[in-house]
Amino acid sequence: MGKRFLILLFPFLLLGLVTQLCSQSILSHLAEKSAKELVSRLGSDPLAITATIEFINFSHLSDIQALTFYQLFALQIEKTNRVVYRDLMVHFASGRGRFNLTERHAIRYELHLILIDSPTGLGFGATIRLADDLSLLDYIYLTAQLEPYELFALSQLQQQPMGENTFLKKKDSYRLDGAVFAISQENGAGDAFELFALTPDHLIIWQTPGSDSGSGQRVKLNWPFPKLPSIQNEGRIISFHQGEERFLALGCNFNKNSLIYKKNPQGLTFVMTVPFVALEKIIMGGNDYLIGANYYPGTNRFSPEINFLQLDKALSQGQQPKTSRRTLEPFYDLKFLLDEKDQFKAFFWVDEKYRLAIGGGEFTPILPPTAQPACGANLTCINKQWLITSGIDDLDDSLMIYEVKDGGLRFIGTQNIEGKVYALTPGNIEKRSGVWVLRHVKDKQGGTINWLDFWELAHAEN
Amino acid sequence: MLKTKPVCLILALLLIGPLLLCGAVKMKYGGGLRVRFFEPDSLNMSPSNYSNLLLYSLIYENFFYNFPDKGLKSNLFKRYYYDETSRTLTLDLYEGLAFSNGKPILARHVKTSLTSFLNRVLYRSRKIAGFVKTMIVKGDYSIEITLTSNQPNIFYDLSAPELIMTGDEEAAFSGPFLPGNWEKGVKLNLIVNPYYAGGRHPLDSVTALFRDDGLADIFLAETGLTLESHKSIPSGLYQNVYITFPELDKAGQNNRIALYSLCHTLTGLNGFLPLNVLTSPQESPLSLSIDTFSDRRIISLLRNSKQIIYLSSSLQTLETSLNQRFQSLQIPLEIRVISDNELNGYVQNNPVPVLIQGKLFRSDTPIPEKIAMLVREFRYGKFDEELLGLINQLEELIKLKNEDLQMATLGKVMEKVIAGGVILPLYQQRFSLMIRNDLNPVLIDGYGRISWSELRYEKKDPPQS
Repeated sequence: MGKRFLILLFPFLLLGLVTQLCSQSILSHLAEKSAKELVSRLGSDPLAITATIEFINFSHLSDIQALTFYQLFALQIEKTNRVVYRDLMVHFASGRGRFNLTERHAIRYELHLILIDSPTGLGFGATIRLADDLSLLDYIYLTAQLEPYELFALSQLQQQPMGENTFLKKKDSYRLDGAVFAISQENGAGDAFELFALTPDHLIIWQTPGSDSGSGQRVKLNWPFPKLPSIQNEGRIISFHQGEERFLALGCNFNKNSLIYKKNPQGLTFVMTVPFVALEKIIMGGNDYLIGANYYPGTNRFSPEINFLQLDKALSQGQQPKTSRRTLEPFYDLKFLLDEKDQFKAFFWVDEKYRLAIGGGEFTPILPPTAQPACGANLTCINKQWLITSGIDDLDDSLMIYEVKDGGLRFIGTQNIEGKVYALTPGNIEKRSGVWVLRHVKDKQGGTINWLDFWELAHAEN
Repeated sequence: MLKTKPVCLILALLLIGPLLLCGAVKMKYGGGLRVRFFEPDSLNMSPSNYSNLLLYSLIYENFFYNFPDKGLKSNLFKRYYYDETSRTLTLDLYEGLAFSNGKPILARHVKTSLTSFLNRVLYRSRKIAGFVKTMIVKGDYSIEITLTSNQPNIFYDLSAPELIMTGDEEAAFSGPFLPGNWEKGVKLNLIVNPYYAGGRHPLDSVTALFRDDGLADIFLAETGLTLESHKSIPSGLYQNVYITFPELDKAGQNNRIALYSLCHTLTGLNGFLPLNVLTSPQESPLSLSIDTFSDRRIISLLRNSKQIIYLSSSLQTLETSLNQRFQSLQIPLEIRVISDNELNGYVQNNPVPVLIQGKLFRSDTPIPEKIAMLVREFRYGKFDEELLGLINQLEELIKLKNEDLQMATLGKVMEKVIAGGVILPLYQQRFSLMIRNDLNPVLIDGYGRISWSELRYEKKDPPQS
């Protein structure tokens, strides 16, 4: 009778499970129970950093289901605020997780997790080891009974984001001149900021939000001969400090050289060219480096060689400096994750097959490109914590959001947008962080309109 | 006549068109295309036939392009304007452009390229040369051209396919591709030109095939050919073949009629339809009667003749059929092939009694203009007074747009040309572009050339050539 009743109620249960999975499913209960148990074993040392460095699924759960369990588990630990948990997972496939172990030295307690089938359902095991000597501290084993309908409901979810996406909220939109192909923001004193936009012949500088996007200061650019024309212009604007001085690096796909300008109260002063498109300024080994790559001339992707230019030497010499190099793979975009001291922590790139890849502190790949296309051709990092990418859809685009603060990669959700993302860059308006999105939208006459949107991070994340 | 095999080759290159909305999923670069062409004599501009017109559009950049639905476009000039008051045309180049050898494209190259075009024996060249007064280079990137009369449509005249940007050296190409390895009689490899003013082409290479080697991605065929794998696009062009007598005063009328009759009845030709009017049977409003002789009469007139018949190199495919015809009647005529590039100079400086050459026409060009074009270009400056007067009159009437008088004068011109044996029509070729079904969209300019920048593969990965 009980089972017959359940069958009749099945559609309603499924609906309930789908909409309230996180709070009602056994996976959620198991994750919560496991997290509580773990925290109780570690709770005497609230400053000790804990991280999972191994997670293997031997159970009947699929990869998606196992990953969901792990994410619920991590979330529950963080919610307790009693343990500093670092989520280092970058990928989960074929029953195994991959973790960014670049900063393993900073971890105090290492967790090794498994999921197995138990006679009654699902079993969870966790081994806690001291990172220093890998000595075993404790062991947890818990089981839970999984009903068949819950597994069915889980299988319908696919890659369900963690609850409703309220992560990004559109704040402002500006219609731009169609020639703009790159954007960057630099913050000034108080709430003031400058927005830089690159066109083939000019750098446009706008001050503060609400400015008429048609106006702004225009700086004529003198790209060195020869031009390598492109069907679609692309480029990068990087602003950075070197000592007390501020600089701008402007690069594009129709010239082999970037232009470096110094910013001063009078305006911009040309300093020098560098033989690559600057992508970031980072600190490595105590030295400041400008890192960049070259577009395949006139195209939309970068060649694999990454250039490292030691800034103090280059700026003092003022000429075409020699650069050292590392080799990656051809890519569409590359972004760095920096820590609080602007030290290099990890980097993300999207290769020419739209696969997201991650590299570590030694500039070595941690996670090889995912097997399937994972994102569009644009990336940016915000607040040293979040990775935003464009989507892979051929129709309207989207923004995909990941949490990466620990060097891991946790998918948060997507935000649909109209048109196609052309460029992404981090932004900050009135002390609220977010992302500038330069996108193209087709108009009714078949032409293209440029829009620049500012999406701010949800209140809790800002 | 319909063939299951393509008659003409190639239409080269199509541009894999860029995505209008480039963004999260980007335009793909790489891969190649196979196109079938007739092999040219050289890579110097000589658009004497459709195949050459298309091949040269791969390696040379035109000043302007004119698309029927989209209007005028230029990849070279960032600004071009005509001041009717001062009758001055100003052309401002984009800065930083380069030829394929890395040398800069400057305003002086605009002047030399335009001068070279104006010196050609082409109707449009002569027309423009007639009202260009001065060309003054102003700095590296600007040139001012002053005209003798008001020409509001000057830019459309400057969209002639023969008006190309050329450099100081032979290896300075301005088109989306540049020539690589040329295996004579087999193929020519074209590699992408990174300096191309219109933007680096999405394809890495194009192979121009000069002989059949499987089905090409793009080729030229007779109208009416159908293939499951390709779509047929009307080119809007046709090519006529004529027999002309540059040394008219030295060629007897009977001799001319005999030669015409001999060459007009070739057999075994592929794709050449007999032509009995000066332009095209579908559009010619005037019927003409052209005298012909029987084979017996031809033999009696020519059996002891040791004449040389000159044949332009772009029509070399006729050589075998001509020789067979001569041999069948035991007429000892010799065929001598002249390179298209050298034809004009050769005819002006050497005695050429008989010449077989072709002329490409756009279907939508008005007939009076076609006739004026034909006579001007095929007489090499050698007119009799009456014919010259009629042509001048016709051209004036074209400018005045007086259609009635045009037709009346046209009749007189055609009668004079045919009856006088000045230019006699032999054959016509009509073309369709055969394009692989997954190459879209197809945009054709006013000269039957495909816009490379619009065409792209529908598949995400274009095939490697």
